[in-house]
Amino acid sequence: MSAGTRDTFTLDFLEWTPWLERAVETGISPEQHARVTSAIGDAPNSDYIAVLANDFGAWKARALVHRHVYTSEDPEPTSWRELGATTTSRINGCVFCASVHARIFANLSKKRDLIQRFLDDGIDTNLPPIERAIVDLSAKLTTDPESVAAEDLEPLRALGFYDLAILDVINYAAFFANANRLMLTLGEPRLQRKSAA
Amino acid sequence: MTAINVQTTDVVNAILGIDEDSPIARLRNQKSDLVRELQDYYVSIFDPVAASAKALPLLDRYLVAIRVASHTGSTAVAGWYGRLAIDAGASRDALDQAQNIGTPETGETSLGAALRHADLLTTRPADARQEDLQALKAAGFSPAGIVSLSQTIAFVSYQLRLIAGLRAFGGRS
Repeated sequence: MSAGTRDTFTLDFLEWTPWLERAVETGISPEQHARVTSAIGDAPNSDYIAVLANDFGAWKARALVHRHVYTSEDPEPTSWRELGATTTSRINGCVFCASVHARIFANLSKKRDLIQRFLDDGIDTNLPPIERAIVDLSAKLTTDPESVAAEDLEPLRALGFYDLAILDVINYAAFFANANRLMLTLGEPRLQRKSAA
Repeated sequence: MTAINVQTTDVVNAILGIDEDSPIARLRNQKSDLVRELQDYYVSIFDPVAASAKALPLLDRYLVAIRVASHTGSTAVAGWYGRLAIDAGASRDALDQAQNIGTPETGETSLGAALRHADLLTTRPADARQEDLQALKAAGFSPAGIVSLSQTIAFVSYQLRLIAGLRAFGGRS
């Protein structure tokens, strides 16, 4: 491992190395083995799934929630919730999650310089009004959720966000409280190995 | 007070104390698939299949959930899992141990090790190391038990934030 990789926020592609046995390495039955292998398929981050599959029921149920918050196209634009996910990950210190969602934000919003600066300097960096409102709400949910009040929704509302769009930001930022903790405790990021091709 | 039916009670609405036809529930139900999937995720952790319950006992899951929610002062969420823990026969000592976040866990018992991991992931997730998983193994956790524990902590971390965010739609404080 590289001591720096888990501490240095980046837009680069990272890989993730598990610290725990993959489900198929724990002496499970042939039936369970087939179920896990089939579920993992050729998914990206297959090591992460292979570790989560140690609790197959929770993995499967969570995967549906994850897919929903990740792929939902209602409301548009979806780049805002990616900024919320990046905010949560930046605060919690999940370099892997932050790199994934900062890249998606950059691709969707075309604001690569902005998100690079956000990763480098942190959540207090200077931001335009909508980005600032999303980061503030996501940060409060991350660090002191019980303090979130009606007033905290007003900045986004004043910028034209309707309730479902605000809830989308909340839901995604909140979901990354989950994703960050799983990724941070079950393994660590590492720089992508150069392809031999 | 009647026992909570984990399978049929929408846990988010129940903790918020709102009805299906309340404005917040209607807002949530604009994404009804997600409402159902989140409930299924909850059920997978708090009404697990037998093999999973063997890897991490149900009562320990409730106590871990209380611990996570206590760190953020999420009293309604902690109270929910407190009721479930009492229904499951939790002792007063175990409830006190879970709630007392002022006393860092040393991890000498299986429950203590689980609560210590909850403390770590809830308050300092980036400080988690491979050695922490070794400590859980030394306390008797299997890989499946470690993943179930991590899922429990991670689920409640999400749930309590979603609930806090939804509550903010309920009007000015």
